[in-house]
Amino acid sequence: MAPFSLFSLFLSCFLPLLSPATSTNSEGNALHALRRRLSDPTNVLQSWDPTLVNPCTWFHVTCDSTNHVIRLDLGNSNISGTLGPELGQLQHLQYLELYKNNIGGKIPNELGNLKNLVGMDLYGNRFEGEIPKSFAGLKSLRFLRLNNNNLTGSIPRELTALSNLKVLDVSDNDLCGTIPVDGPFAMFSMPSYANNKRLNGPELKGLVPYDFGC
Amino acid sequence: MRAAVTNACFRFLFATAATICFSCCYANSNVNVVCIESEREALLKLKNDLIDPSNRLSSWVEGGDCCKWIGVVCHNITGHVHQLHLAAPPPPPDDYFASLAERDAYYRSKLGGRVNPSLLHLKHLNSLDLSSNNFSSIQIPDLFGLLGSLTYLNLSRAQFQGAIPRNLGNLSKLHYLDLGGNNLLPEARSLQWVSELSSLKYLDLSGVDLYIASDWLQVTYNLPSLLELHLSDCSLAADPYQISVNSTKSLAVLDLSSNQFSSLPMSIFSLHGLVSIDLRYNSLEGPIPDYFGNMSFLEVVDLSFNSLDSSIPNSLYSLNRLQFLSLGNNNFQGEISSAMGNLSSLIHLDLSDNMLQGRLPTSLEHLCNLKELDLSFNHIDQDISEILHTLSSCSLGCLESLSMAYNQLSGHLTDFFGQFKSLVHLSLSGNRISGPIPFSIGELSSLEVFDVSENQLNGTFPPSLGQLGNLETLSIGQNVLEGVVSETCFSNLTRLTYLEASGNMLRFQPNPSWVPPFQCETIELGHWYLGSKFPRWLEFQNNLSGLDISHAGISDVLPTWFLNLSTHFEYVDLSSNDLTGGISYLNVRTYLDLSSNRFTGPLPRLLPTLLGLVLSNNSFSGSLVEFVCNSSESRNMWILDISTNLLFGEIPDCWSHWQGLGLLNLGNNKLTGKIPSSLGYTNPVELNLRNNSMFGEIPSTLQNCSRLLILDLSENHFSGSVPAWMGEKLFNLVVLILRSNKFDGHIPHKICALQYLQNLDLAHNNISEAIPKCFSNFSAMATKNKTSADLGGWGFVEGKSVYWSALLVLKGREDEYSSTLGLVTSLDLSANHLTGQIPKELGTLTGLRSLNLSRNLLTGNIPDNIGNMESMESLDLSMNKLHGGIPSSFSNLNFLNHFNVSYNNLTGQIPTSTQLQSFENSSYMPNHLCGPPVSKNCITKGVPTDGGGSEGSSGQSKVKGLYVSIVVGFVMGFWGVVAPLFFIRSWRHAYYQKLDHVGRKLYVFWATMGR
Repeated sequence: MAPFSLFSLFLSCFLPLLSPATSTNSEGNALHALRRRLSDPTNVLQSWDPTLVNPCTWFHVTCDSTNHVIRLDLGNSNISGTLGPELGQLQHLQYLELYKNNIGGKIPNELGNLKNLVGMDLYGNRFEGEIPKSFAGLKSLRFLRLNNNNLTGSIPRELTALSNLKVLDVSDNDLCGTIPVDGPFAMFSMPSYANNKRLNGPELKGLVPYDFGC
Repeated sequence: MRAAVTNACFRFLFATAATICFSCCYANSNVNVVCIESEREALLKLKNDLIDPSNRLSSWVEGGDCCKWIGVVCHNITGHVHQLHLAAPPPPPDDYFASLAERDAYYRSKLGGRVNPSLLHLKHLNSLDLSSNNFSSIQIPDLFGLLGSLTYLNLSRAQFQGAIPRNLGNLSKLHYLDLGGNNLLPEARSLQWVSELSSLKYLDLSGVDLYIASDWLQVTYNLPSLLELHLSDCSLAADPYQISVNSTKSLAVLDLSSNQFSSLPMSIFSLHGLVSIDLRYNSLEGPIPDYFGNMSFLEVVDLSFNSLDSSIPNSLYSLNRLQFLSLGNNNFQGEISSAMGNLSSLIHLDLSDNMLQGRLPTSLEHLCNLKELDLSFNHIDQDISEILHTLSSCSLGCLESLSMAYNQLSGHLTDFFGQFKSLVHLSLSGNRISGPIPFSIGELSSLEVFDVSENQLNGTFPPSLGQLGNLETLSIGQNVLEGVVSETCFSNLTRLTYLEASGNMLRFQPNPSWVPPFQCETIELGHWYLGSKFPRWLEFQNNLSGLDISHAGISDVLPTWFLNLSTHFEYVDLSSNDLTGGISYLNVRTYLDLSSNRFTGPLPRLLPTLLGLVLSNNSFSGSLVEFVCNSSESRNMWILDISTNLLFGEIPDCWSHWQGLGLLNLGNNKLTGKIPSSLGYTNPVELNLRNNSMFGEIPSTLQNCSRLLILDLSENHFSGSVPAWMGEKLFNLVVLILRSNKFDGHIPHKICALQYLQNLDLAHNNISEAIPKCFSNFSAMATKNKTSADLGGWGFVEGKSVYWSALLVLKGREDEYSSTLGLVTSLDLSANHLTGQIPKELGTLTGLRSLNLSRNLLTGNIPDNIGNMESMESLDLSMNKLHGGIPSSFSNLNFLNHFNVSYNNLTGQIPTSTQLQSFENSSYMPNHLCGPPVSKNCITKGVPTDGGGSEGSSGQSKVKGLYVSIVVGFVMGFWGVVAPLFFIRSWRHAYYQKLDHVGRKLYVFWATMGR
């Protein structure tokens, strides 16, 4: 080990920093910002080294061939804390899997920027506040599971524009108002809405305000 | 700097002979007396026996006036020689880069040889200084004990060895005795002779092994006149037991540094007049005892470099005479008490390298005399402008040095900053300070060191920095400064020697004829844009020893003048530019990085002292023969990376003198031939030969590579079987990559002994037979919680590790893993001819993150317990002959992000989980599977499932179907009633008035139905 330590000593004193390119690693920065909001008792985020050029080698993060983040798989990871607006920078994200954790606070409106999102699973957390209207921008969304949280307010009518939505679950929240019937909502069944004490439905367009009872 | 201050503080008390003499050491005293004949003869005899390589005593000649000789001081009336000052001159500044000539001159200036007894003829000699010479072959001569007139004797650091003659005790007039820094032992295990030196005021026995002299304490503490005692590095571990010391009241300065005390020696508490105590570099543990606060005369306390912990005791703050307090490099915790403000005499305060947290107390504003404040390497979390405000109220005019590097400081450097006019040294690196460097920085005209590197400073390179005519160190690297730097920014920086500014987005393109006003030793401008031409101004830097102009956008031929610079480079980093041309020779002593350029031609000739050489990503071509075999001297090289070049030919077989190698990376070249057997003797930590055209079997000499952590031989034409000895001999292996070769035979069971193996990649070979069940012995793949994220590194670059790294295929893509390699676990056996079943033992490797068994001939069912591998992110079992179902346990795999079971004979329903349904159906097809995400419904269950794939069993699906029909029915029916009403204008108004009522009814209805 002698040559090693000698060399280390030398390098520590005199070598310039071979720093990672300070170029665009906005997705890595966004994920690192997320990490700073989260408490991670079981160390699932241990591999998230912000000094790497991109986050593609971080565990629970998947990139496509152009090094854009397409999946974030952190279901059932014992993490707590909140989400922040920076997640909206993951423009190529297809799957946001944060289910069965202890994450609280509001769902950031910026998640509505994720045009490529196919699945968003935030179920089984402690999210509160309203379902962001901005979710209407998630044109590729097929799976939206927000059940088992503390969400309030009504189901935004804007979500009826999500023409690809196949699975919706908002059960076990504290939602109110009426249930949309247009677009993909025509095919969702009762269990998707169960256990929201103030939720009425279906909506009676023009007859009852959609946020009736809120 | 700290040591210098300490010494200054210690010596201030003893301003007698020592200080006075130095004023006349090298100047001849202008006396009018002529020297005495007999004494001249004695001096000449003395000279005759001395070895004087630099001829320092050239003035000592026959017949001369010896009172005018260098080092001789005569009495101005009697003409007797009174003082002999033959100390060697001080060493060159403690600088690694001191030239060989300087060092040589220094060593030649030392006197050696013997001390002739003629010295005894100098009967009136009262002062003798032979310090810092080199008498390495002799003991301290007995004759010194006969120089009865001596009041001053300094033999320090003169390489005397052996026992100290006891007759030094005869020198009863001695006031000053310094034997420190030699390699001495007490004669007869006793210091009794010292007790006879009753006039002694200053005693330095540093470096004398007093472990065997148990009377050291009684003898020294009892000297009646002693003011200053230095017992540094004397192997003292504890007070001698049963001490009863009648301590001197006079002792003011006590130096017990560099011993092995584990607790504060109780004897010091009997020294009531103590002014200065130095206990640096001991092994002190636990808290500082409260009674330390009783030593009320203390002015200097140095407890640095120990293992003291707990909080700093309040009792310490009652020492209101303290001027110098150093508690650095301990484990003190908690916040700094506001009582610190009581120490209003403090000049120097060093609390660096502890675990102090919180904010600085505002009471520091009472420290009106503070010149030096060092709080670096703690966890202080505060706005820098608040701290500057606190310090400004009183110490504004006197603060010379402020170090708060590596804390958690935030906020901006405000313009207010310019008021610290006395500031010489400022270090705030490694914090989170943001905003611009204030313009007022230019007002700090005394500033010599300005270090704000590794922060988040933005804005431009302030032109006012250029006004700092005393600036020697400018360290602003690793910030987010941007914009253009003009050459006028440097116009007054004539004393600059260290310019460290890498990692900013600055542009600097001076006029091609610009001649810098400075002569730097270090220039680091990595990631600056320096223009496409190679910076010509470097030609005028004659003292340059460190250069980093990596990532600088230079697109040029490396100029010949650069290759011919006479400067002795210690390190050079030109990486990641667009430099071209060939390099025949480069004069770099330690580290050279030319990676990621377009250099061509044969490999350069280099100094054999080089420790690190990184030439990767260039177009160097030709053979390795001359480079490797050129000299038979042993090489010290630790890092050799010539990967991704155009080297061809065979790897020569002359590696036996390269035994220090840590990293050998020759990957991505056009090398052919076999692995030479001598390569095995280099015993590297990482060996990478990937992607060449090499062939043959792995030579058995690689068995010597017991240090190997990472072995990558992938993408060659290696053949034969995977050697079984790997399991036994390469027992440190963490990463083994033999991917894409022609290995055949079976996987040897002995390989299962590799207990540290985390990544095994045998993919794309011709390996046959079954997967060994003993794979379950790979315990590093079975542990989920890895202790260390990295595997260590090959060195440090500005304090940050450069880690061992490996290119691994995970998540369906190839990536380099470095700082997190220690966490990565993968097993890839894909594209071989493996047969038999997937052994259920694989399921015990619950720490495995990636498993690829695709493209083999595996049969049978998928073992249930694969679903227990909870860390699994990437699982590929495709293109085998597997049958049966996908085990329902697969629903437990929360972290799956890459999954493929296509092209098998699997049947049954795809288990449901958020993860499994998130993959495309191409992950499952073709098989005989049903349920989402494949379009085929599982009709055998009776009720078709919807294509969406929500969670729940088929039982739930039935209920769901029922609800769907109820809802649809209700909506249709409701609209059948309401809609007609709605369109009949005259009815609408009436119904609007009833809406509230209707709504309430609906709510009740739905609420009950929803339960």
